[in-house]
Amino acid sequence: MRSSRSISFVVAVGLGAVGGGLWSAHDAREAAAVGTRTFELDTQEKLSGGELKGTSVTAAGDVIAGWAVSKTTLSKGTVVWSALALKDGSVLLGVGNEGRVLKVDAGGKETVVAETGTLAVTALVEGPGGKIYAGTIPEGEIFVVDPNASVGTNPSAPSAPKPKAWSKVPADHIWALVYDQKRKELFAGTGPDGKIFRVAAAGKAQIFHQVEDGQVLSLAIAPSGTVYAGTSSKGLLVAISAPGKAEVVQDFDGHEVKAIGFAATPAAEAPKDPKKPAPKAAAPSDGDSLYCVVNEYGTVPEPFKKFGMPLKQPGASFDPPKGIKGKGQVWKISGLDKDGRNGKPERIYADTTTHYLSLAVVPAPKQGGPAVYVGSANDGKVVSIDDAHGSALVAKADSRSIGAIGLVGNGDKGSWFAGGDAGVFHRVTGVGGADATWTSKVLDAGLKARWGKLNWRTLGGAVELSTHTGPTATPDDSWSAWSNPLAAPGKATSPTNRFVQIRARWKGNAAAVLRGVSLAFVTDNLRAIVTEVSVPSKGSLTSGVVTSGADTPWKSGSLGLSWKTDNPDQDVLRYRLWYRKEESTVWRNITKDEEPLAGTSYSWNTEALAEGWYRVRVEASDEVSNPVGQALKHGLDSPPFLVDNTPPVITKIALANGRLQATVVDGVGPIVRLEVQIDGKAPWKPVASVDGILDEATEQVDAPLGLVGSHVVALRAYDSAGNAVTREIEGK
Amino acid sequence: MLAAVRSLLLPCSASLGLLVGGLLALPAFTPRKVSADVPTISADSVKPGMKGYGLTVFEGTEPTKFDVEVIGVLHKFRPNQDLLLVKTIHPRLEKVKVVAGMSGSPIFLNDGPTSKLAGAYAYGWSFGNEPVAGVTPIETMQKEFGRPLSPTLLPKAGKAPIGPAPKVTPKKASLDTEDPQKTAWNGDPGGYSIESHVKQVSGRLRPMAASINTPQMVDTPLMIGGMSEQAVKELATLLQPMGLVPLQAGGAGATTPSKDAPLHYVDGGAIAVQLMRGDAAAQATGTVTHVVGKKLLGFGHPMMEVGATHMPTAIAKILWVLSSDQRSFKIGEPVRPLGTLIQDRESTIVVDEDIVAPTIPMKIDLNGDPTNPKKVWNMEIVHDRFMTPMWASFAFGDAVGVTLNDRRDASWTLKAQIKLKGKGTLKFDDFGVGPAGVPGGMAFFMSRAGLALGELMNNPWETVEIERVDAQLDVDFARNTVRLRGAELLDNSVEPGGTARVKLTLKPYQGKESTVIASIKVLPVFPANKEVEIEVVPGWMVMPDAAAPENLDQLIANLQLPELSPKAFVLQYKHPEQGVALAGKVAPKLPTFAIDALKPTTGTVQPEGVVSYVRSTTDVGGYAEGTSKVRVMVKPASK
Repeated sequence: MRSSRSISFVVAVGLGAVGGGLWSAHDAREAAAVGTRTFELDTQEKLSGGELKGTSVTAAGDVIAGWAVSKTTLSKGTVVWSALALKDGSVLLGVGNEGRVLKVDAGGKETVVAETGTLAVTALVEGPGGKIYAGTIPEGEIFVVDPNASVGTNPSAPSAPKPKAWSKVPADHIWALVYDQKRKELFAGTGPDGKIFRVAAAGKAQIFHQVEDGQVLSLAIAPSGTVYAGTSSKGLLVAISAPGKAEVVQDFDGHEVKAIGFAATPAAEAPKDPKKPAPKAAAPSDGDSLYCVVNEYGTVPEPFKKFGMPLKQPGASFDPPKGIKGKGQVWKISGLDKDGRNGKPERIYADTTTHYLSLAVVPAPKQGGPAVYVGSANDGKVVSIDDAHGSALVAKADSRSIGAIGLVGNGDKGSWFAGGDAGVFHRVTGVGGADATWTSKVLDAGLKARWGKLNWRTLGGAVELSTHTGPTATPDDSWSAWSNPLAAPGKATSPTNRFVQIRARWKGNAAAVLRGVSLAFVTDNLRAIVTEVSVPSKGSLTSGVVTSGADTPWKSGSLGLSWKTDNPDQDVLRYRLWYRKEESTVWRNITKDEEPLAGTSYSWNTEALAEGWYRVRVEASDEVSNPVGQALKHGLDSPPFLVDNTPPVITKIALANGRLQATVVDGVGPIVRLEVQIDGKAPWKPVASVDGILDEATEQVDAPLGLVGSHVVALRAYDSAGNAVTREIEGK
Repeated sequence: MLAAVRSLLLPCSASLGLLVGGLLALPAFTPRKVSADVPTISADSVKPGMKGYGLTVFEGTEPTKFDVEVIGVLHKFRPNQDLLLVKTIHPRLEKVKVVAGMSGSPIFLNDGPTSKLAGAYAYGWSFGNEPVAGVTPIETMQKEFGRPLSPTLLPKAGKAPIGPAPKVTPKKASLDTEDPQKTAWNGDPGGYSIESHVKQVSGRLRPMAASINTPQMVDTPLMIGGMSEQAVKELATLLQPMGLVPLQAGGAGATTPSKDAPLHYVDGGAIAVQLMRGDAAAQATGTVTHVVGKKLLGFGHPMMEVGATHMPTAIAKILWVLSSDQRSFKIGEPVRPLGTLIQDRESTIVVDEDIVAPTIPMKIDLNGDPTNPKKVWNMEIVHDRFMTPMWASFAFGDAVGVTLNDRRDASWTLKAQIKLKGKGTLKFDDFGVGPAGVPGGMAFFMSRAGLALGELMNNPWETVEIERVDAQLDVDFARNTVRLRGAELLDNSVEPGGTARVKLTLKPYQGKESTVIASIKVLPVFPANKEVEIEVVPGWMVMPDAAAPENLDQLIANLQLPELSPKAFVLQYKHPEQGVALAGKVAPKLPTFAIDALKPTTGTVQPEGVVSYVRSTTDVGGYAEGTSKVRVMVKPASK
């Protein structure tokens, strides 16, 4: 890329969710040792969420040397839209919604360079003679700003310069500016009509090209001189090799191409063996390579339509919006011809949790090293990506979005990134180094825990690990001091507490790789409580209303038992079941003592039991998770339930004058359904008992069936356990 | 009436006619007479059967005595206020009973050999058939003398347009008031409406009496001159709930003193509060209770109870007391502008002779009717956040009404200019097309100029001073409308980025039906197979996009946003990309990332979302009427 050093406002990529926040003991792995569990931090997600200082976390779950950064909180800018590095090491930032150009000098001091009176300074680029152009929204104005005219941010500072617009292009929004050193022309990507303007030295704008889309969000000039434009809302990448000569390089499966950056032509590497010839640089015929950030969004709700002038009372406040979360991808397109044809697209990164705003291409990437850095829109991530699709979380800003990234070297000391919402500027003070640390997110043991071995693996050098613990989910004064560092895996010495953080320090060995961090712990053992034992209602009178005369009772020889427990320390539990007849005091085993249950339900075959009322006892024990002598248990009895395995008996039955008379008797009762069938034809129809209520073990039937002539009538009776008996009678 | 009133940014008339000649004519200097202070009697000392007299003007400018006899005292009639009940005895009062306009008439009672001022005639009964009145005790009224003026009511040396005696250095009243909430518009900047302002104010002021059997403040007749009967009727609906009873009374509302007019107020003399004066006039009339030095008490009840204020006052002449079963009233006119109403309180008004109220000169040039004998209207209206928009609108309406009085079909435009101190001159265009008939003043409540006055004077950020209002009315006695009969797509689909052509069938009034082809580009942001709904609407229906104003300058900028021609039809469709508005800026058609970035989650200063439109206009030569919709399909690109 031979244009300017403009850092356009780009969009983003994704790691699989690199979440922050608390990690609870529910996620801790049960260790083989009795009662011991382990926090195992071995993936990018688990290793992220804490603090990275001079370290980064790769997608493979390695913690490696990364950026250590300083921080400047921006008091005069809410969201960083654009940035431009100056030769003296300071960085200009285009911010909104205040429409200012800020400057952060090498020492981190913030000053105001210009008040443009616009909503946002969306593009900054250096032109001929060090002239700095600032593109803005929403009136298509380009300003020329003087970085030396900055004023302080303190209230007593004089007013910042309010430059007049140098050029006003006939478009609402300027999204990208790029200066072509060869053509000596400034190009402006605009919206909403998809126009790219060529702005002459006097500020006069002339249409260079109009894309078949609405917004031109990103511009870059290829080494070949072709202008590349990324658009919204179709997500096109367009190559314009000459006025009127344009080629759609790629129609991405997304809504916008937020940023474009060209890879430098690979330089020839110095031969490791001086005697061997140097490898050849990539031949020009290999074509140009570019990286671009592509974003995709869901539907954005339409604002409420108002009539007339918008209304607002002074002092009125609004709830801040929750923000729009898109999805981001980073693509590499290599082998581009001069006119933008024949490129080979390859998606090298995708993130479904956020869209991305900024992109910086590493000028001379090392083999296997990062090729680009991208900044996210929703979670303040800076992610490095290599051509082999590897990625690493390099830094996480104290802001929602990363609006611009600038690299020194390949991301060396002096590199920077600026965040928005809230405004912040970070400068890389070193890579790895003596102060490099990785701090885990806060880990929650669930209960007060004693800590065991802190383990890790390293590659290429040593790191020291330490811990600190506390009773609160957020570290505060109640937390212990960091423990003395362990140079090799060993017992964590921090005091007993519920929450813990682990910190690794790099001891100056930038090449060291940390992986597989784990911490064993044992919590105080709390007894698991069985809170409920359930016996199915069918076939018993123990659970609410039993239907009679409606559904046919379900008959099964097995009884489905289930229970619930409250397990505060998340111990692995084992259950034992007993039963007894209600009138007995002796509990008898259902499960074998040596084969306790792990689940919370059991199908119990009761066919061998004598009829009658029973109870079941469920006992929960944490013996699996705790040593002998420390295991605790708790049991709970079920309500009484009826076991009835014998069908009723129809002791008398008669059919005369169209009336059916019968007596039905069960052992333990009650009879719950009586039904008849005439001449073997379905369906069975219910009949009532003499007293109209099916509630006794013996019921009488005297039912007029309205029959004329001779018929065969079948009577079927069910008891409450679902046992049934049928008898037929022929008569008139 | 077509669309009543809309605005356009058009060149303004530079003619700023002034009322100067007449207004600055000063009377010859005469040493003023100051009413000697008089002894007073408190309500506690008043006994039934006490006799005395009252003073009021039945005709001319000289007060006439009438006898009174105390019926009794209603203690605690209002919070901290008693009410004396008296019979008023006078041949005229036997006929007219309780008279609107007598409010404030001083009542003196004989306490032994001395006549003592007891209070002001102020209350009566609706439909009362006896000449019995309620008297506001003088001690209650006197408390208002001692009420400190608003600290912002600064005495400023200034040149009065209508001055009292030259030896008196007039003080110019500040535009700020002590209690602006009484008459302020309570709403969002940009949402001003005169009608709702009237409702708000009438709700805050002077609640209705509980019943007709309850003593009520005697109404204040609002004598209207130079306005149509319709205007008076409309004013009645607006102002009567506030105790002001508009009466068509004639009289232009003096801007210059009559030759024989008294030089100063006297006890029992008639006083008018001049809300508008000149070629159209409105003045609330009552009676002076007592003059002390350069100040006076009057009315015995509030005019509207707006608190500290600054409205011009005048000595009034009474022509007659008209008798009515429901409400008798004085009819008269001002004869010498003098002083300013500075307090409008529950028990009295307070007027200072030496303060000159700020007023807004208003001039309307009437063009287009060669038979119109009066081509220029000059007025002054009160400078008040509540009153000014209303009276200015009535003045506009009156001018249009007078010009269209022959009720022919007519189209008219009203180009108004509002000169704002320190902010320049704002220009507004309104138009109207009527099949016949005269639009009333309330029709102009929706005028751009009338609403702008309300927006400006009720802005929540700073006090504004309206220096003058000028308007030019151009009338064309033709019903210049073009009605949309229908819209038809010429091609039911277009390629992305192609142009949709819509045939509009138009029917001019008294003209032949015609068609015109309007076109609008369907932007390439619409994907293939997407249907785009195109609306056809008159230009005057399209509101310009604007950000919610956050200061006076932004409000002014919004008021001056150019609007589309009312003589054009607009094709418009929603752009798929939304926009935002913030800090006076509107950013339409934004990509999604930008909408997200412009709405930071860390703060509550948020832009407002706006729907983006794509529009094209087609001039049709007459005021456009009617709307329609068509839908065009975007077809895949052929290349």
